[in-house]
Amino acid sequence: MRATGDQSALIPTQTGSRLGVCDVLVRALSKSVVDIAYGVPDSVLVSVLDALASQMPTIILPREDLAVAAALGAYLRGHRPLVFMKNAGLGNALDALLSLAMASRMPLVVLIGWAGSGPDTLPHHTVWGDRTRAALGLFSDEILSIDESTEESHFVKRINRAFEQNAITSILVMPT
Amino acid sequence: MNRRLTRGFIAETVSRWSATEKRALFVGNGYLIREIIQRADSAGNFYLFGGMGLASAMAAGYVSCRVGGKASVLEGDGNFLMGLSGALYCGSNGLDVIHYVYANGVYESSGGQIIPCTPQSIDLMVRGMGYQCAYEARTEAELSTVLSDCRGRLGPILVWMTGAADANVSPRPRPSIDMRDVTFRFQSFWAASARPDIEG
Repeated sequence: MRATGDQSALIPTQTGSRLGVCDVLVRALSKSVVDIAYGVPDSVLVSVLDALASQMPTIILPREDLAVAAALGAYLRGHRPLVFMKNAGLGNALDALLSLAMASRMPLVVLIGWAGSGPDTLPHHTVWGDRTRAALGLFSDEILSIDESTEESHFVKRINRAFEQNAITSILVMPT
Repeated sequence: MNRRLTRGFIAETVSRWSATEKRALFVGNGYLIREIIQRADSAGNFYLFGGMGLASAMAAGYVSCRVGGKASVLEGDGNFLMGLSGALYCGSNGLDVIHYVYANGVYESSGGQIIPCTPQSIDLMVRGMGYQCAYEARTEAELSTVLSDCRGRLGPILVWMTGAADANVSPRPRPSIDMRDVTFRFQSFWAASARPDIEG
């Protein structure tokens, strides 16, 4: 059953954590089965991607749909891939996510920089920001959000579950 | 052997050649998939029933994620144009991909509409994209010569195969094979073939 925009799952939080979002996310990803990343850079994700590149091969592609396809190619060779992009890139990636990944039941973790949310009120960002969860709901089995107090071990389990269940799990990262 | 290239001949020939060369074959969506499944299906082939224009990008991920990867891509000229940046990625990164394009100038499975643009020079285009070289073939004999020349070579190489849409040839029926089964058998096939006891 695919999630809809209103059925996103929030990670249980751990009060008192001092780790930043970037640290929590990168540590969780590095402890998960994810072992390679493909995508198009995004300013919201810049710290995450810099840190991620020290943990696993992190490969830039010229378009988001190409990144999805390349990630699925790596999956066919035994990897557990992640795809990263700005939320606006979902427009480019949608066919690849639907007619290739979802139709083939190939698992993916999709990391999305959520422009147009939180403090970001730029009109050309909010037009996507307001619709990002709905767009993710078209193909995601689960949508995860993260903040400073997210419990790492639980997050790792949720990421790994995508590959255990041949599912697509999306992770939203808000601008700070 | 001087017959003009047809989709069926290309599909069968490229599929068999890729199997012989132990290259994973990624096939772009359209009638080419139907032809291959009818004439030369193989567990080593991955069919992109969806993912328009993404065959070369998928091959790029497959080849580049680990040392020693090699693949073929077969797609029509409509798919090629749609996924041009995927081909550019293969070329500029020197990936071992032999890229076959069947150029009939039309979107045949969509009703035969004319493709709105075409490269003026195949050779200049692919050299600019970083491919080692390009071959062009119009007949069965020419394609056989090209494949002999490509045997054992490393990509990226582009083979541009010019054919003509034939309104008198009925398309093959849609295959009943399930995309999930294609994925599973492809993974199983190449995982098994990588085992030392089989590879030797």
